[in-house]
Amino acid sequence: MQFRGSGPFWLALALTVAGAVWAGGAIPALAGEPAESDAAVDDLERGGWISHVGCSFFGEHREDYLLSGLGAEMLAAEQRSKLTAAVTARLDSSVAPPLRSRTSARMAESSGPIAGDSIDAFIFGELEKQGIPPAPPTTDSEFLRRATLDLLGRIPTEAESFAFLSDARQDKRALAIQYLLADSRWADRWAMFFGDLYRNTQLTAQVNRFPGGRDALHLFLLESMRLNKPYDQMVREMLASGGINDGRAWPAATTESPFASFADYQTFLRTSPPQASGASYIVGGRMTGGPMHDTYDNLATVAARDLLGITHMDCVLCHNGAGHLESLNLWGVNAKRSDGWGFAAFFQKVQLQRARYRVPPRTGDTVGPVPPYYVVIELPDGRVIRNRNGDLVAGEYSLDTDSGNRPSRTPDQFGGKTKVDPLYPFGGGTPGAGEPLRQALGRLLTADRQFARAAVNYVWREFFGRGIVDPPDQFDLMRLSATNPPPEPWSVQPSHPELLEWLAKGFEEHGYDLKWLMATITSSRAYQLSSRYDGAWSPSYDRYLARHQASRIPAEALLDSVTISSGVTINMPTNSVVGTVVFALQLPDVQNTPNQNRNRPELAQTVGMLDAFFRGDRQESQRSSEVSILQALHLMNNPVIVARIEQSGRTGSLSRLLGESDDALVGRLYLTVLSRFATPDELAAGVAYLRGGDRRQRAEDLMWSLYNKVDFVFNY
Amino acid sequence: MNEKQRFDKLIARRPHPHFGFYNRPHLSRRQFFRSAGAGLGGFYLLDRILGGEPAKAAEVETKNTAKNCIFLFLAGAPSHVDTFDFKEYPGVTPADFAPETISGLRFPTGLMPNTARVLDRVAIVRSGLSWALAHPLAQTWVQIGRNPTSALGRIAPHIGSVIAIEKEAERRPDQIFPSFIAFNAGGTPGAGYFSQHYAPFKTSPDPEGLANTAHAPGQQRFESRWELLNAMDGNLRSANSPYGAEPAAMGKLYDGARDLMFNPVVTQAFSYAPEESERYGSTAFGDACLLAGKILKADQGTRFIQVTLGGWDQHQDIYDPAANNSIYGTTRILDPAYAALIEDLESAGLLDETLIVLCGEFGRTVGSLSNVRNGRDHYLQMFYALAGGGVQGGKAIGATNDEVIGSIQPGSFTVEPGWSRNRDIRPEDMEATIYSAMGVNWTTVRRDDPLGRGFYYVPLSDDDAYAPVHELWEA
Repeated sequence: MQFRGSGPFWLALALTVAGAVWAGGAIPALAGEPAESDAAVDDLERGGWISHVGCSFFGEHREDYLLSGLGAEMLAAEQRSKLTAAVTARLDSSVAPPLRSRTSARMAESSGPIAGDSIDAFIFGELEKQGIPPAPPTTDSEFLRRATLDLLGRIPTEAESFAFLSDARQDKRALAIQYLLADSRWADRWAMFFGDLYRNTQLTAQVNRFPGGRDALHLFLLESMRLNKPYDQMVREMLASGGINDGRAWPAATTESPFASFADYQTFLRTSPPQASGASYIVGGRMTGGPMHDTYDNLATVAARDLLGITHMDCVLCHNGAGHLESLNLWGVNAKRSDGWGFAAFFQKVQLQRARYRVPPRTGDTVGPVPPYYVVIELPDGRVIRNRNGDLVAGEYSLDTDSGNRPSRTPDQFGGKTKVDPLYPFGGGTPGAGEPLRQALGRLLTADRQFARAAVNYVWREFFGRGIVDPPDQFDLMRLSATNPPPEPWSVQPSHPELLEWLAKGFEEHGYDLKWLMATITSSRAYQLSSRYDGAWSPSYDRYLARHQASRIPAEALLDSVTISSGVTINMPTNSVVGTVVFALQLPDVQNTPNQNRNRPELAQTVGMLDAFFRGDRQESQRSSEVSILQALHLMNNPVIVARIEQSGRTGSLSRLLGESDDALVGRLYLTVLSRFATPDELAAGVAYLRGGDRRQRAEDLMWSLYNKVDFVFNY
Repeated sequence: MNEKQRFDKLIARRPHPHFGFYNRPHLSRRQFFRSAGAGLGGFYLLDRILGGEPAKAAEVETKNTAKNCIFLFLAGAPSHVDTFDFKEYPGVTPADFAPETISGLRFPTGLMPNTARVLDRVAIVRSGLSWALAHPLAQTWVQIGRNPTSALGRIAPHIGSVIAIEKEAERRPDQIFPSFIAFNAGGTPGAGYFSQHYAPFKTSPDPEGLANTAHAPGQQRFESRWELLNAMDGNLRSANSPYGAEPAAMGKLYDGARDLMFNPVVTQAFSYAPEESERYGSTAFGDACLLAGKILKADQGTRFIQVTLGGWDQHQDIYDPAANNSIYGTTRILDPAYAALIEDLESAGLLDETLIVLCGEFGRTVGSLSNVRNGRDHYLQMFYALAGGGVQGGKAIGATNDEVIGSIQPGSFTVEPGWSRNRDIRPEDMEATIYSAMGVNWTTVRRDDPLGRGFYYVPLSDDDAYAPVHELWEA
């Protein structure tokens, strides 16, 4: 590493970050990052002070950076907290290159003009057409923090920020995107995203997936992310999945308990952890209080919503759209209830079954439990099961219901036919000969352009705060085309119809590669616009993405960012296969997790904080980025932050800064917590405050203030 | 066609007229924050989010006798025949339940001696009937007042969130508590499609006061930090924040949060002494009931308080006096707290304006115990107990069978509905009752739901399917 220019402070920073000790030295006035453009800052941000020789992004000291930033202790804790041995083995043996080979060519281009500029052509073309001036580009620190929060769900470490900001190369943003996409943290963040999208929680008003079933779906999503499994493949696997929903090898089904004693049963649970399985997605469709048709309809509803972005399927499964959806959804107006039935009929072979035996009772109990799992059975062609009353258990979509959660299903609604055959309602398509129905649905659905549109749109919202179709689950299939616009008074639904189509097509062409999609998005100039806006802002500009929308960072991101920057971990035990974790983004669920423990009040404080920041319940309440007074109370007073600052001063990142010079302490604290350099004014004010009293206390106060600053709490 | 048949037909038909997307008020989050007024209570509230005028509300007369509601939720489904619809089964019911007749109501004084003392202030609904026997489904149903699996059910707010949004306009600028507080809540439903500002403020009782309103390093340190923060953040949290409207709201939010700190009003309402706790049984439930009373006394804008008590799913050894999860164990927690709450509100002059609703999500099997595990299993018949808020105590609405009819044991079904609709009382009817008591038109239809079909405060109100049990107000 070579240092150019004369920056003893940054030299100090570089050396201490690399683990060396630096002794004293005069501190020059530090140039930082002011709000307005400033030549000195630009120079600094572009790495004018420091250049690396033979340094591939992080250079030869990359490991040191990571260690010092994350803290060896934290790394060890993270490793300890990894999945149980069995799961780890499975994941480790299957870790693929972070970017699949067919993507890497594209990745190389994405730092050039092609991919990113295509998004930009649409976005900036529209801005120009509307006469809206765009916001200025992000500074490097704005970019790195935003991209890291969006891609990895948490802020960069101090070392990562430093290495990136001091990198002189012109293509460092492209390299950083590649680095972030290759990082294992990426899988945590997107497993959480898909857990939200597919509403993977243990207990809902309808069904108990059981902890094992919830875990198995979590593992399925996590594993899919770690492998960067093509998204279409992941969905096909999930839709077709069956068997025991926790993925355990339970003893063969029988009406007699295969366990000799309760202790045997416990041993089994302990020694065979849940395994990745998508079956809980199917279990989650279960509806009670009605015939099995209601479950098939609900599976159609959630699949249309989650996988195609068409939430109005729910309406159509009760009645034809005409007379109901006139002012809501033009596609829906023309949709018939039977269209919904054709879709639901792909699920007609699903049978959900609990274990048919009880485990021997625990000492002192009279009866033992029924083992906690569901079996998702796909009945063979031709097999239909009905109970003694003649009610359907599984096997066909018969039109013979007059009770339950939806209106009667009768032949007169379907041209006199008594049964519904599977028919993909969006452009047709039926199962092939001998093709299992859910496999057929996966084939037809993932080949549908709408599948790609819905996927890119859901992902797009994570980066821009709004979908190209927004809300992203309310697609109207008849209002998507700008060249073939809908009749009055309808308007074209997407904000950028051609862009949506271009992205969806690109996603298909790149093998439904989520990393391609995210690289393409984050490489764009549109994504890299600042959230600061110079002129007068009008809410009508939101739609055109003239500036980046600042949003309060999600619950888990907040907690994990405190963990990363304070260097103080909280071990969070869970009733799940992931065991004890240190990052909230590794939790498998958003309800009642992590576990609470009377002797460890910080766990209840953690749960309280995660809930206060609206992580949702994966049922009625979806994740929200709204802000509240309760959140302010948590940020100011929750021991998870306040006590951790003190601890940080004793053993964490702050303790390592206390021995630094005043300038270095303040400057590095900014870099650690806010992922940016302090401006000269901020540095001077910070140093003045530091010198005004007890050094340790003052440093803690500074850190507390940084945690409560808008530019910590928001992704801007 | 009698009322019941009409009702059954309505339910079967399930109509839900839709309403135009274009006619719904649109309020982006940015507009929301731009129009934001002063920071109030636990959440940042503004009247503009109150949104669309209810386009469709029948002319109804609400009782409007209650200013507040305390909702005591017994999760797990309490046995109705062992408590508020008491039936004595020879050779089954334990002798120490020592039933008495109080104000004409048969009641297990031995099991709940404190409640027996206040029974003349309690009206019991005995013709309650749940729709479902699965705990999570029925629990959500009771708290949102509709089928959670219906399209609107999936986005429906808690009854308390509806109260919060309805009462927002009545808040005074000096009131600083959240409108809806939920103690010991766990998985309580939230604000649904409403703004999260109407979500339950979930907390737990702590003798030291409201969580996260004290600053561990002390007030002096806090003041110093507060000043530093505001200096460091500059205009980022002010109305002209360069980052846009949401960050611009942070300054006011923090001011609102600060109002709750080092504030004797908050300390007074949210902290308690051991002697106070003792009167309520020294349990988390009792402490929450104690705080509910204190919070209402403070008159700081809180209108709906839920306190949840679990443990009622007594499939096993329900009559084991020593067990914590038997009917003995759970009533040991409930009984002193419930009675003390009623008595304390009364002596504070607040009982008349505070409706206290006590219920579970369904009832339990009747007659002899399940011979497998000596417990009682799930059963649709259920009770509600109401007190205060203008409700006339010391009476029962409706009755279940007292006689053994063949193999059918007492407490099995409603023989006398006891109210105008002449059918069992459903969670939706109880929801309408709470709204009516609090002066909220239960036929209101909001036009701001994301599905654009109209959010009915009480489902099917345009067909008059459900109704408040106004007989509770009759002497």
